[in-house]
Amino acid sequence: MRRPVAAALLSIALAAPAVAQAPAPDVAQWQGERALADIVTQVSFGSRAMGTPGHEMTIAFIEAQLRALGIEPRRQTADFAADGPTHTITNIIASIYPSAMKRIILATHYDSIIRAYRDPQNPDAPMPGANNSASGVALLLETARALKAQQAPPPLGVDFVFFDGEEGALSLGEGDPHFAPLGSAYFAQHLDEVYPKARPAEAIDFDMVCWREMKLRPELGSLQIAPDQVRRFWTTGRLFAPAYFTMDPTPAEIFDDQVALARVHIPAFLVIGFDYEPWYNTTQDTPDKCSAEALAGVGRTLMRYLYAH
Amino acid sequence: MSGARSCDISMRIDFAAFAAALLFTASTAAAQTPQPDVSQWQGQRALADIEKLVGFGPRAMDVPGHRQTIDTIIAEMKKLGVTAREQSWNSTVADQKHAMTNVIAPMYPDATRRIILATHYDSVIRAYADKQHPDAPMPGANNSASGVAVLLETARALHAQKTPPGLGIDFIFFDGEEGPISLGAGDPHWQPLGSPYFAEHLAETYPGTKPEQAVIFDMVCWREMKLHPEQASLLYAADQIDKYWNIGRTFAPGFFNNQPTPQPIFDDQIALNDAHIPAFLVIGFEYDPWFNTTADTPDKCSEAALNGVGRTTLRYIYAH
Repeated sequence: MRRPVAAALLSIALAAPAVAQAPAPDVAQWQGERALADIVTQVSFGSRAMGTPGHEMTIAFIEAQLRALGIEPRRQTADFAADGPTHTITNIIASIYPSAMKRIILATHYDSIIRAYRDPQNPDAPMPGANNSASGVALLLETARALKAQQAPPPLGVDFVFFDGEEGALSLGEGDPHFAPLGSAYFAQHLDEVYPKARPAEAIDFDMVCWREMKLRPELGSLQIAPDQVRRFWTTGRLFAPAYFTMDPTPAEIFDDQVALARVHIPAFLVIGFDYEPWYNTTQDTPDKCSAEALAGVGRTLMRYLYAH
Repeated sequence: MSGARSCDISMRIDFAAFAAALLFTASTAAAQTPQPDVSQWQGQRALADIEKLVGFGPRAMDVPGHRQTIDTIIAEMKKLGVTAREQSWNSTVADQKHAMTNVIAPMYPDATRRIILATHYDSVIRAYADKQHPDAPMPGANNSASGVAVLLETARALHAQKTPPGLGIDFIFFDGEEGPISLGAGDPHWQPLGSPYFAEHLAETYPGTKPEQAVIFDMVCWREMKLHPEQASLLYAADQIDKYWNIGRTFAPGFFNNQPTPQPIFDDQIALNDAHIPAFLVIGFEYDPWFNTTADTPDKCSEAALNGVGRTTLRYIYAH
């Protein structure tokens, strides 16, 4: 028997879901090395902020990776103009098991911030963005590969959503006092276009999930919106990847793409390695900060979570 | 992403209170079968089992105490007319090779509805958590002799009942719960060996209908133990836990607490839940400063604690 080290308390509801009947997934098909390679590829595009060449290269990369799995992605585009520059936002949506009635959204954002504004030496340097934002894209792509390699599908359909514009109109994320995510807000406002009938049963949003020393905490806002889902995800994580999960919630709410989904009443929760100092939004957010083990820790937890529905 | 939003504490629900309320309000289903004579479950005998097992020295894989434990389990079951089967295989996990044996003892073999009562019988090899003597042999009264004792005494108590319960019982003594180097939590690459093998070969034991649930016992003899519902088990067997803890709180309140464990605990219940057998863990999780030290000796146990968990189990079985 193993006793987890941390003693923090996650005191959330006991109402348990039905017993899982799907087979256990072959989690070995989720390969951290491949996810790490996806991060290296994206970082090589340079900044993936809206309006940059790297942004277009990332769209092409995501779509090519999905098509290689036989999954046809579709684009949801909209023009955005406010106080800042005008942008065309492009969300990418890709469905596996499209005939399944019960569906889950697995989301991330693929845009990066444009410059490493928190870098003490080079605040105007282009942002590499290995953890923020390439890691979330890598996690979703590798999950698609791992799902395609399973003998049996999970008990619910999966919709991958790669949001654009999460870093806001200026592509500066928290460095912009008027920051608000663009792509997820548009997606949520036009939910009926994607889901004309049944709404998705839940959503998970991934952001900053590759750091080799990350500790994933239940996010305070998500705990209000999706307490049972958070408890199940973190229980699974604590059991199978204890180095990367702690039951101690984040000290404050974190405003990410899960908020737009929660506003339209989708139980949505955020999985984020929020503490990432001193590299957060600096030139040092590079692939060497990531590890295949950390990626597999969260990816294989996700696989188990999906199949336990 | 931004962490700038303030935290609205007032909107948070007190989930712990909600959870406790759920446990209290739900079911105390009336038993359809006769009440068991719980006085037949005798903590004194269970304590004697613990002393006997501790007398073997460590029961880690590949040491003499391991085989002596298997033989004791089989002999004790035989006295009750129960034929125990050895499920044996060779394991290579984390570059460690071991000859492994789960012991499976079915009682009322003709009953179609069945419940698994399980524990692990292997112990940690050395008292690695002992500050003075981390290389000393592990006595392992609570971890692991207590689980074996509870299963053996439950078999004796069932044998002494006038009416059988409504469920057939499969006693399963797992090997290798303490992992490939028999160091349990002291091994960073720890994983249980016996229960996953059993679960992957479930059809060997259950060619037809699967057992409808499983209860896993570990560390259940400490005289000051508090048994808490375990977080991972709550995901899969919340109704069973509710029923079990209601009985425990009613008849052995000193040893049961409704507050869930703060963390999930990885034990043999995970492999059974992976095989879709709703399984829950009954564990006296807090056992410091003695956990995996030379002081994990029979004097830490009490008949009262053993009776508390044993008689609760007997009542639980008869409530089906």
